[in-house]
Amino acid sequence: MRLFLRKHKNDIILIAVCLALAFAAWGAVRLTRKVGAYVIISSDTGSGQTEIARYPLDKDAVIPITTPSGTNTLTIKDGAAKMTESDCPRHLCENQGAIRYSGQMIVCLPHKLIVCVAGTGGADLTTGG
Amino acid sequence: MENKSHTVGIHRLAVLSVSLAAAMVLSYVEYLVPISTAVPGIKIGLANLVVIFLLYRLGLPAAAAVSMTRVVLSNLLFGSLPGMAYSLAGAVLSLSVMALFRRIRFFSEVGVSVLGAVFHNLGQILVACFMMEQAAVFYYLPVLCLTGTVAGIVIGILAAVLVRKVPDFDRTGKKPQKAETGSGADQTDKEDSAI
Repeated sequence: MRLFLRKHKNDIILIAVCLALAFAAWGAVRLTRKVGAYVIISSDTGSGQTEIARYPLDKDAVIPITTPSGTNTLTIKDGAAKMTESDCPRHLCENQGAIRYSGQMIVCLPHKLIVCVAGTGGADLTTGG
Repeated sequence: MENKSHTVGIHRLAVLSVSLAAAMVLSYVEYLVPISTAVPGIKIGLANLVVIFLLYRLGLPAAAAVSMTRVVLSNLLFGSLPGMAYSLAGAVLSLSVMALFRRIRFFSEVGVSVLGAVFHNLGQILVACFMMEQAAVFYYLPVLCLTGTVAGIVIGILAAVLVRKVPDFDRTGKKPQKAETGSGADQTDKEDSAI
């Protein structure tokens, strides 16, 4: 055990540093996050990622999204948005959960679709970037 | 087998081919059994086992060749074209860092593997940031740093075992030890054989 510790001292320090960094970053993200106001739906329609629509988070809605590569359904409920349906091959976007904090996003890579939360606080659709 | 310079080439070619095949199988296994789909990018990095093994036993050129070919082939076969950019960035950054720390011998295989895993994830995040033009992907950094560390430890321990136990095949002019026993091949600190 002692030999093991001496042999792997550097490794153990490295692992500790990595874990500490991960938790520090996690804490930083958690402390600075703010509830978003709306979701921006963007897709690559041939000329880079461009916004195609935005919806307030405080109003429940079921939003069908059609991109050149396929269709998705985004459901907004209780201030959070979730991809509830997609005809992409692996349905990874459906497993990414509900998003409600500013900066969080759901990505559907096969459809080049990004849904991201923006703005802060209530339903302030006019001032948000 | 009479021409010595040929033997080196054939040995090397055979070892690299088998390594590539092994890496491809590991990639496929990983593709079939995703760990978590909630956060994109969480995986064990099984193929890195082969890369670390090669890095320690045959040196950087061999590891780089197998790693790059593996990334291109696996993305063509069961990945996607946008996915290839992520994988390539991750693989290049990861391999560079691993090669550097393997050279300065500050860490064992485990530390090198952890660094490789964490930098693989970092490379992917950087590409995502660049491709989607959204800095918010750094949101994934904490969880990917955590999972990368854990995955790196597991792969590093396995790789260390492989590096020590797999019979010596990379030396010429020496009869290969009996396969499977591996006890005689316990030379860990041998120099990289140059091409």
